[in-house]
Amino acid sequence: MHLNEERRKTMVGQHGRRLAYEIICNQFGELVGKVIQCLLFKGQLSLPELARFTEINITQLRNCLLVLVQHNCVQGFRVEAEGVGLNPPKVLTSYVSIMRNILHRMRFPKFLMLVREDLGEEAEALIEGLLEHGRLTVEQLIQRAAARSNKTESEIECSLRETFSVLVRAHYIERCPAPEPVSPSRPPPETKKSRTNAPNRTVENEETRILAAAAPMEAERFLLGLPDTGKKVMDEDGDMSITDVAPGQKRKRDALTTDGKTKALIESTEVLWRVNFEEFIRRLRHQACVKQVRSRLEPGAGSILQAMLEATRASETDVKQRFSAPLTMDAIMQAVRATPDGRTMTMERIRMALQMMCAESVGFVIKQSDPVTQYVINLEKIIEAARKFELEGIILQRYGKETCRIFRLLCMKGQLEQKQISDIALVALTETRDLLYKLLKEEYLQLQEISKATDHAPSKTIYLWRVNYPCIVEHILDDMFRAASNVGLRLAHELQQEQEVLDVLRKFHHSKTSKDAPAVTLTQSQHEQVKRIRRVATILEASLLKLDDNIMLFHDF
Amino acid sequence: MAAKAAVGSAVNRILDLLEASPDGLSQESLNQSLGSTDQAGAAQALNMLLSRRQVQIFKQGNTIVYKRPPKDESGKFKGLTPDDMLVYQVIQQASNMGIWTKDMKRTTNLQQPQVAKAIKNLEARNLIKAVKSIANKNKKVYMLAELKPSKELTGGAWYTDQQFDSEFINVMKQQCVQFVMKQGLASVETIADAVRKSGITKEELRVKDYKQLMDMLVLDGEVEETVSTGVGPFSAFPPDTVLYRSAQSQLSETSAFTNIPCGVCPVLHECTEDGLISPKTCVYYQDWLKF
Ligand code: SF4
Repeated sequence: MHLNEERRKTMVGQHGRRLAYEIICNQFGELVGKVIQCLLFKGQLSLPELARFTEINITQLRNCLLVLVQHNCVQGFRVEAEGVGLNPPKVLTSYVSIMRNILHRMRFPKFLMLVREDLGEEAEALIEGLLEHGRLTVEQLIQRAAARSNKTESEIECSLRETFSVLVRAHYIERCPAPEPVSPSRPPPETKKSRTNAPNRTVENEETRILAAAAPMEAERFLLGLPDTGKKVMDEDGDMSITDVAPGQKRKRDALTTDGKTKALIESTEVLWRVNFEEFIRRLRHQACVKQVRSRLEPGAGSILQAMLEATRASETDVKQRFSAPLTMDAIMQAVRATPDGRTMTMERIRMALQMMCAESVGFVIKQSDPVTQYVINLEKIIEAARKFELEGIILQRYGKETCRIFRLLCMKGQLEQKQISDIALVALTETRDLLYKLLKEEYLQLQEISKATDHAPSKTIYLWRVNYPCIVEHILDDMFRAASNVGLRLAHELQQEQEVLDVLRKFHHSKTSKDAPAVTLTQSQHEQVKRIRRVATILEASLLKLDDNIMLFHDF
Repeated sequence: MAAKAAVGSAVNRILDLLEASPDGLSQESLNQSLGSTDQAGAAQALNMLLSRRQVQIFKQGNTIVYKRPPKDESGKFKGLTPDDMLVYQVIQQASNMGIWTKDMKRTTNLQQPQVAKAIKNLEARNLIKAVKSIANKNKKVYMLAELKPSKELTGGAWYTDQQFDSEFINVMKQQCVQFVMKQGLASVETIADAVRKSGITKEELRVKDYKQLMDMLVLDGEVEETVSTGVGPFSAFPPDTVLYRSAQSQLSETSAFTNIPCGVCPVLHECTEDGLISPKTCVYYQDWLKF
């Protein structure tokens, strides 16, 4: 059992990292891929260690790391190594990969769509710029937009700055973390300070601690540095004086670093910004919740939940927030009435939907009555329901109706004997046995032996089956990562197979746009080939995005 | 010991009484009818008749009933050894639940070969038959040839010839779902009634069996359970009746994961980038991307 456990731990989870590695390879090439592979699989490493493992020369290695840091896939941090003998303590820079952020790279189309629907095309273009370049200053963003629209910077600046501040206020954009924070010392011993929304804080690992140390303070994170968020007139050269960063908020490290870029915090023109993935994931998570309620209960309840989530979103501190802030009936009414779907809803209608969501068997919303009646959204429960729904669908498709029935039965009853399972699920005894052992092998189920006699005589032993839920989730997620890898590999393979015709196609387009290029035509069969590969790519890309919805549900929500 | 004469007259009396009531007599009514006959004598007489198989003993519920065997009965046993007869009786007592050889050995105190021989003789005369138990396919039990095996042995309504009949279950399931859809709300009794009236099966299904079907449909996510409040839409049912209606959210028929070949691939765990099984050479993808 122990061995099994060990094996499982090391096997599972590996495919998420593999996928992350492949994403980096695809987007930044083999060399950068090699570096991230090392960091993903070996953990945090210093520059010399990385050089040794990757066998890449230092200059190239530094460049690779720069790319990765620029795109928020790696975070550097300094560790003080104790001095040996009389030598003074040495400061070493180490690097740690941020797998989460790497996986987000396959979601960029979703992020763009989301922001377009929320704030329009200009906002989308700004986000696109940041996604493409990882980190940019406002000026760089304006330059980029100007170059793209064939307008002068001053023509578009005002509106861009306005949109930019809207994006920051909506938390879609944040200031970049400190480039190389000093690794924080051991976490303080667990205090009993209850932080309801952070149950896992105690098991924080090194990586998250470093990220937390690098992150700007909440107050700084979304600080525009524009007096009154850019609405005030700027001085002639478009610069804004920064008056609202209190001296105390500037951290020591800023004074210590000599690197020009890190002075950024002080001069607003050089503040580096990046996309705040957390906010995008939060909103996608909310969308998933609404979708779940909509289809499981009824559309009206979904709309009400959406309004409630919107009203409480700003107070969420964790992406995997478990409970929303409480809302009074009045606040809910107000929020709902402000939405297009809710404008015409009566108090009675809203009350009924809330009651439905509060029902014991549902539990999506919790009604508190102390000191006043308030409603709290149980986000964790809704996500859990969505996961279970998806899981049942997957088991149904993969293993068939009988297995799915048995799975649901065991989820409902906790644990049962083989004969009981066969009787209730109406599956023949022998077939039941085969299905159960198959699921046992996959580690979806657990078999417990309860012996009434000391000699473990089979006739006096009861064998109880139960669902190994955390294990199932872990396995399915890992399988999804595998599948995502495979779709990506297949796509790369298909494109490579058609390399020739795609080259011809490129020349063909080139010949059409530039006059002096030689004329190129495509044969009938080449046309067919292009048509096919386009279709293949569309299907594979769309499938990957859809599959990623599932991955997010199990990994990020 | 009772006097021989007394036993003799008791024998005649008993035979007369049993002849007069072909459905048999319980111990109690037999005692009553015997009236003054002394108890010990009557008991001895019965024992003698039983051992000569001139009287048979049956269990009806909790009461023991004595009967005359059918006229040709005695001929059936001609030439059987006492061992054979002993085994026969044990098997007879087991009635429609049957009994397996090991238990016969224990109750008769005979050795394995003797029991085996007896079984062979009895089977040869079509007096007993072997029945397989669904609980244990390798375990044969024996019962009298003319008996119908009990539901515990055959597995009940869902077994046909000891075979689990999933075809039949499916048909019944569909019938139940259709009825629930049509009615909107139904209790297990109304479902059972309706399906019985539809005449779809000759099989005698109990309400218990229908309940089993409904439980399964709940597990399949096709219907859901609710409890009657007795008012409003539930007014047709007394309060607290368990009712069924079609499920609001059925099981997901598709998943983004299982929609791609890898999601249902039997060799997912053997598949690697450059392995023998690889996404590059995968036949499932080939089929999927063939248009
Ligand atoms: S690529 Fe093909 S062989 Fe490999 S897991 Fe997917 S479907 Fe199976």
